[in-house]
Amino acid sequence: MGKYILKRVLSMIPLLFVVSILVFLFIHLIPGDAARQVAGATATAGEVEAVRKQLGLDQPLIPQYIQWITGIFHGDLGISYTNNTTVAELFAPRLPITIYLTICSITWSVLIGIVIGVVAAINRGRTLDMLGMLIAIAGISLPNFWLGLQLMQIFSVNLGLLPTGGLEDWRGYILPSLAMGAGIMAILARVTRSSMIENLGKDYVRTARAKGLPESRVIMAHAFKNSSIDIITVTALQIGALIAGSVVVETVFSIPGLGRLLVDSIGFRDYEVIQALILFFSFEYMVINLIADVLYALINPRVRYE
Amino acid sequence: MKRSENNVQPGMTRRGFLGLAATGAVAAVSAGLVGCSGNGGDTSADSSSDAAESTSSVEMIEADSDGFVVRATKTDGKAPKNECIIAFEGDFQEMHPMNWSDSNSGNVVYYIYDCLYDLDENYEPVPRAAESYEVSDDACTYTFHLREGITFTDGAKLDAQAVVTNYECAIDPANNWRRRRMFIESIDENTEETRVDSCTAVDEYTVQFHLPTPYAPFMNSISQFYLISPNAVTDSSFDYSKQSVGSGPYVLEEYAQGDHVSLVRNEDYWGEKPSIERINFRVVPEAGSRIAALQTGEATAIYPMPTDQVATVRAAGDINMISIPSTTMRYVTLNTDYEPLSDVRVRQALNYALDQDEYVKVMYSGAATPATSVLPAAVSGYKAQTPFDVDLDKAKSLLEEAGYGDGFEVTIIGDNSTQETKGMTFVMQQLEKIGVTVNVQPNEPATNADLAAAPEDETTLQMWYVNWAQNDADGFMRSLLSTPMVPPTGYNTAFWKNEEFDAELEAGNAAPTEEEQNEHYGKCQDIVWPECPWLYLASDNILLSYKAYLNDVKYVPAGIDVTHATLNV
Repeated sequence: MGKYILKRVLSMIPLLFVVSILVFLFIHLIPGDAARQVAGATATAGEVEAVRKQLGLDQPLIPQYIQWITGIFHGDLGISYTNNTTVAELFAPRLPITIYLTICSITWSVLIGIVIGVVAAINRGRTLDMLGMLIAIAGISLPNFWLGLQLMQIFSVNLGLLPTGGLEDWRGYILPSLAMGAGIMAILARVTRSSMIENLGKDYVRTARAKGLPESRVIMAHAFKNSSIDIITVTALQIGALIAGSVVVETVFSIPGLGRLLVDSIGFRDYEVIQALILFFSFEYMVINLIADVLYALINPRVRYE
Repeated sequence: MKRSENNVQPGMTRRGFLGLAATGAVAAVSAGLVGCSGNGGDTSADSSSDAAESTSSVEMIEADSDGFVVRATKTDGKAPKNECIIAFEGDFQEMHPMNWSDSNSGNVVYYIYDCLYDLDENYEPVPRAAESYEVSDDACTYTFHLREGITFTDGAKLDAQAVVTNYECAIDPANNWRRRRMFIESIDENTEETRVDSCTAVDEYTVQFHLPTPYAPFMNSISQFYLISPNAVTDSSFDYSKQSVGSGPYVLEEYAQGDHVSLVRNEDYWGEKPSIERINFRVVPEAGSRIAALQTGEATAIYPMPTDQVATVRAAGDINMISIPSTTMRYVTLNTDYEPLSDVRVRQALNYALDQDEYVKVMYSGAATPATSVLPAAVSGYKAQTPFDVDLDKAKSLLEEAGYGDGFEVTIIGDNSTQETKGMTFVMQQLEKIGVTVNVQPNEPATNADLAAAPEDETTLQMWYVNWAQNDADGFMRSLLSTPMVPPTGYNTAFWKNEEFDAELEAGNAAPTEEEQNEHYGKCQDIVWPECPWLYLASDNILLSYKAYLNDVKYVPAGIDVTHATLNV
């Protein structure tokens, strides 16, 4: 197992390298000129050229790439064109916010999603099942920015309980986490339910019941344990999607996280910030998938890695 | 408070919208957003009729003679503390007083650093660090008499030498600060146009600027020439995002890019001390969230106020909303090289077909003024022209005369935000009435900037839905309509060239008195207006909403001004 993890970690390096080349090419090839954005909307051609020289954007692409990637290996993520702060400085305050928000959203949505799914599966076809699935359908269908605005209207404007934005204390995290997690909660509820229904119909469950195990043990130790593989797979994929969801929710709740930084940077053609962010998101995705793979093995001893 | 009244509409901002496109976040985002992104590329007639219909459900914005759209009815509210929180839509990108480019940062810098002269709400110069100034008869020498006893927060004196040092750093090409263009305009790689020859200290408190030729908007430049302590301005390692060294009424407390900038009162300020202790500029990109923050008091003022939320503000009762004419002009450039737009009759026909009043209603719920010249009425030097009142028969006959009786097809580009796309769709709808087929092509802003910068022999521009904001007549018309400013140098994207116009513009610039300047600038407008290099749209108003417990907020060219405002605490 240890060898497997090491191998997977090492294989990330060439993968990230490929990502870095792709990202670099993509953002340099799309239309839009960083120098023009930096110089400002009213700049004359001369001013734009001066900025281009200053930023080194007048160099051919290959030397630019080599310079950037060498910097990365030296721990230098580059600088932001907008105001000359280093990318590391830009990331420092935003990274914990985004990570904390992701953890909050994932935690509540996975817990509630699983509970709804299990309860619905046990009560298949009855009122509780319908209620659970109604919540799930709503969670999938409601766009998270709309949900966010509605939550804000109810809890901030009408009831005055929670702030409309900003992250001054823990209360600021509640509404964004709710808006971000709702979709995942719903998807997990549905996945858990269908997986549980399938497993509850399997022979080993009948055997467990036949030998007189208490129903709670049948459900949790037998059926649910087998369903958890599906749940982990879906959760890992959804965390990846959360990065995208965070862009919208961070905008609605005025949260200065990495998602909004990415959008702002793309609008500004702030190349080095975009490159660093996409590299980081790719890395995050790889790590999450690695964790999911390791969890498979822990849960199901039949899963073995070479 | 009725729920239906404050129901926040899920209007996506451009930022949110771009984010989706950028991250390809299809998986995370469900049906509602896909509907939104349809607006970006969709040019069908359906979406345009939606645009037109939406006016009926939205309250029209009409300001009274004092500029109030909504007057608060509950005025006994108290501010939680002596702090003014202003929520802006956009970010504050840069705290360097000589390198900022976005107007939000300019608004913050205005509080921290003094310039010699400010512009007041009527765009008239008012003394700040200087007490008075004189202009020589040839309009080439400006002499400023500084106020005595002003010190920067690091203890350095604001004297003539400090101004000279600031000037020298500002024009230093090695610094390449964006505000260098106050004094030097770089036309292309090898050509620079100098606005100021020298800046000299005559005595301790008198400073003189010598101009090679008269430059009409010079006082405008001066109002953006923010003075930094000479110790900092010459120190290239000084970090303006961490601390400030100005002499203005406030000092920088904290700058967190993408989130907020907070300022605290400068207790050693040389002038009348502001009453408000702390100003917090917050970034709240989503319109619905800005309104919500204003309702809960998490924001004292919001800018811009979304035009479709007037009912919410009215229902709240403790919010004032004011509407102020702006120096932003919205128009569509018509490439005068491109056939059939090269025919002036065709360009006039388009202007006769477009209903400006309808544009103002559909796009701005009434919070805009139809264009009656190429300049917004708020810009000094504006001269009213005869508007092209809607006349479809005349438009059609002009097209026929030009040989396009059956209409023609043309492509319009513009930014891909919801608002801009709606505007282009409006243009499409209006021109359809005279048989002109407009293909709407919303692009990402940076892409449009590229397309617009293409030189004349390579350009693909036909029509560009765009806007421009500037508060001096000279700069406004020079950047957009003068021959030397044809792309890639500047933004004359209509490629309209007129020698008579250029000559009048130069004469205006060289004229020593404002009266004479305005006479020439008036002639410029007389020349360009019937030539129709643009499809004239409107000049939108600035909408600002604020809690009733904030008094005497002003809107000046630098932005929102609460220096002399008070809070009921």
